Amino acid sequence: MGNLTFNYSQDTQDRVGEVITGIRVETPVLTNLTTYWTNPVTYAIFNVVGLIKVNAMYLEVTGVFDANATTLAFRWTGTTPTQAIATMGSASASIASSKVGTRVHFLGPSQVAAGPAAQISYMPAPFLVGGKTGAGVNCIGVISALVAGGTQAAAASGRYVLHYAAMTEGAYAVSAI
Amino acid sequence: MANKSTIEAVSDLHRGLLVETANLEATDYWLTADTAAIFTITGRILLLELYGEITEDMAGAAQPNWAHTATDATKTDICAVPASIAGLNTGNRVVWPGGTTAGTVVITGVEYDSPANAGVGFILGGVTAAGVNMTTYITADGSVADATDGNVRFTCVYAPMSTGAHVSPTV
Repeated sequence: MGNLTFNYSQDTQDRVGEVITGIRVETPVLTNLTTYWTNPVTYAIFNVVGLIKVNAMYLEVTGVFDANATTLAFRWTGTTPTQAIATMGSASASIASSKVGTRVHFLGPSQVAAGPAAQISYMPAPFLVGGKTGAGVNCIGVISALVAGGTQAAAASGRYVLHYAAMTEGAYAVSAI
Repeated sequence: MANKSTIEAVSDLHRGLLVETANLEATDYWLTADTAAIFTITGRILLLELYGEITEDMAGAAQPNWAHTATDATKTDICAVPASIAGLNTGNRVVWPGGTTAGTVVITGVEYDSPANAGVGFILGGVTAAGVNMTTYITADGSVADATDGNVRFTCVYAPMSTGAHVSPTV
């Protein structure tokens, strides 16, 4: 048997993980098919204050998706200052029949993609969300999910996960659910 | 000069947490059948580096890569195989390339001088609907042929991405 090179407590390992991958926030597991997995439906998933650097944002499937051709896109809505809802990137390909542990990543302005297999996905390039006004006040906004393409009718469920770092003083993100 | 524990702590923050297997007989782990788990993943982790360091000269036409074993036992290769490593000398490293699962394992270094992972990391494992960290594995594979001699030590560098996540050597 090999070894843990340095024997940290699990809490310390968790903190090292946050230093490297960013602060993690998650929604609860979303199971209500009508509210979350119906074509089409949009719902807020994260509230953002200020400017944050997003290292990764994804849906992690926790209940297998059925064969209906559901797609996922992420959207941004500015609350202060007001900004109309805007698509952050094109929708994913169908995530029908996704297994437990499949992750559907936001990859920046152009696309949303599922990992190559259940419980494997690629760390995307980081991106910046939110901002600060000319007066130096942190903007406030909402990241939402747009589920479309097909309605899930069986046992689909999932949680959204965000790994980020604050880029302005007082910036943070929290689950909107 | 910083003391050793400070160097180790700063290094962990810079490159991630590091775990190693024992020094292994390649004939037990670089086989045509990729059944040999070398690391156990608890929860969701970001894989940053993965390599095998040759500790005794290799023989046999193994073309090594690694696979990830999901909770339903499905194995998925996390890289593409390189050329044969028959005759690869002690001190060479066989390096996971990152990027995508189509990336080719890197064997272009020389003894004790090799490239590191140049691609993006992979997120492996996950968390169940009940909030329990999944248990998945990284397995070693010789692909087209068995190693017939040689030793190797595998190293995994990672960052936890769920509460309680960690990697431990299986062997």
